[in-house]
Amino acid sequence: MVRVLLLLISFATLAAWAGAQGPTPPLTAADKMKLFKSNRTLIENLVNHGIDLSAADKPLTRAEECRKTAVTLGNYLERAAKEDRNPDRVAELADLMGNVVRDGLAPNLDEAERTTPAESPDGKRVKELQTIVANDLDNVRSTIPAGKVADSPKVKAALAALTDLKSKFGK
Amino acid sequence: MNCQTVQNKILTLPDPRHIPDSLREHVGSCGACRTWAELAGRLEGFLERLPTPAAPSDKKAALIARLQRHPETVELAAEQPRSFREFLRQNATLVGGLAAAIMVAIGVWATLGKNGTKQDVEVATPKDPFLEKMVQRDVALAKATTYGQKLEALGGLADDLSAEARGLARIANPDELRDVARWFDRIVKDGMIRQAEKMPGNAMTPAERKAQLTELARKLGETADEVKKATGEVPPDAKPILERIADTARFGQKKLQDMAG
Repeated sequence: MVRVLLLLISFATLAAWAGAQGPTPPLTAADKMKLFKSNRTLIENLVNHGIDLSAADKPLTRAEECRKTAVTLGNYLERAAKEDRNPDRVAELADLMGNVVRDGLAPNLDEAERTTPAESPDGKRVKELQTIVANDLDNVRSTIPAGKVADSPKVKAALAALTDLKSKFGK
Repeated sequence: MNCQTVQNKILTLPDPRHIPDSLREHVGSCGACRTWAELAGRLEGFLERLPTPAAPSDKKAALIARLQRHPETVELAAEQPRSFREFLRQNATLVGGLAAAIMVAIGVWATLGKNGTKQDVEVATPKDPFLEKMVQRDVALAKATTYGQKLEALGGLADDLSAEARGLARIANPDELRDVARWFDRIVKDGMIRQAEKMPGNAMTPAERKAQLTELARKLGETADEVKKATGEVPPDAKPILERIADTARFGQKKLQDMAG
C-alpha cells in the first residue's frame, strides 16, 4: 500500500517536473513560413541597411545609418502595435531596436562626438542627431495605442529599456 | 517518435534504467526525455530499496494450522476479497499502474493540454531567429571600423542568407525564395566584392589581405556546394532559384580568389 502511494506521488511529481523542464520547442515549418512572410519586407530593408553600413566610412555616417535602421524597426513596431495589435511582436521589435541603438548607434555617436570638432558642420550634426535620436525613442512609446498591447508586461519592459537608452542622447 | 510517445514507452519498460535502442536516439538528443528517463530510472532504484512490509506474525501460523487440519478444503484467500482494502492489496500492481497512468495523463494534460486551450484564446507569436540574426549582422557592421571587420560581417550575412534559402526552399513559394536569392546577390556583389575592391593597400599587410580574401572565397565555395547539393531535395520551382544562389556564390568565390592573388 505504501509502495503504491509512493509510486503515485512520484509519478505525479515526475510528470509535472519533466513538463516544466522541457526546452523551447523548435519552430515548425508553418511558424517559419509565417514569420518569413511577416518580416519579408523588414528583412529586405535590413539587408539594404547592412550594405549602406558597410559603405559608411566614419563614425557619424555609421551613426546616421544606424538611426535609419532603428527608425525602420520603429516603423514596423508601430504597425505591429496599431494594425496587428500583437504585443509579442511589438516587444520583439522594441528589443531589436534597442539593440541597434545601444550597440550600434550610441557608440558611433559617442566616437563622432569625441573626434569631431564641435563647431564643424559634422560636429553640429552630431548634436542634432543626439536630439533626433532622443525624440525617436520618445516617439516609440507614443505610437502604441492604449489597450492590450500597451498593457502587456513584455511591451512595458521593452519600452522601459528604450527609455533608459534615452539617457545616452540629448546631452 | 514524439516526446509524449517516448515518455509513455519509458514508463512501460521493465527497468527504465536500461533504455532500448529504439528509444535511445531520441532520449540522447532530447533534453526533456533524457530528464524523464533519468528520473524514472532513479525512481526504479528507490523502489527497489523500499523494504517489503513483513506479514503479521500470526498469519503464517494460522495458515499452517488450517492446512494441517483440512488440506483439501483450504480457502484460497485471493478469490473473494472481503473489503476494498483487500482488493487493493491483492491487485496492488494493477491498481498502482492504472493510478500512475492516470497521474501521468493528468500531468501531460496540465502541461500540454491546458496550454493548448490557452493558445486557442491567445496565440503567442514566437520570436523570429532569422530577423534577430539580420539585426545582429547590421550591428556588427555598425561596429566594424576596418575593412577586415566589414568583410567578416558581410561574409556572415551571406552565410545566414544562404542557410535561410536552403531552409525555406521546400516550403516557400518561388517569389519569396527569389527575394532571398536577390538579397544574397546584393550582399556578395554590392557588399563583399565592393568592399574588397575598395580596400586600400595599407588597410592590412599583404599576407593578412591574402589570408582573409582566401578564407572568404573558400566559404563562398562551401556555400555554393551546399546550395547545389540542396537542389536535389527541393521542389522543381525552387531548383533554379537555388542554382542562382550557387552561381552567385561561385562568382563571388572567383572574384575574391583573383583579388587574393
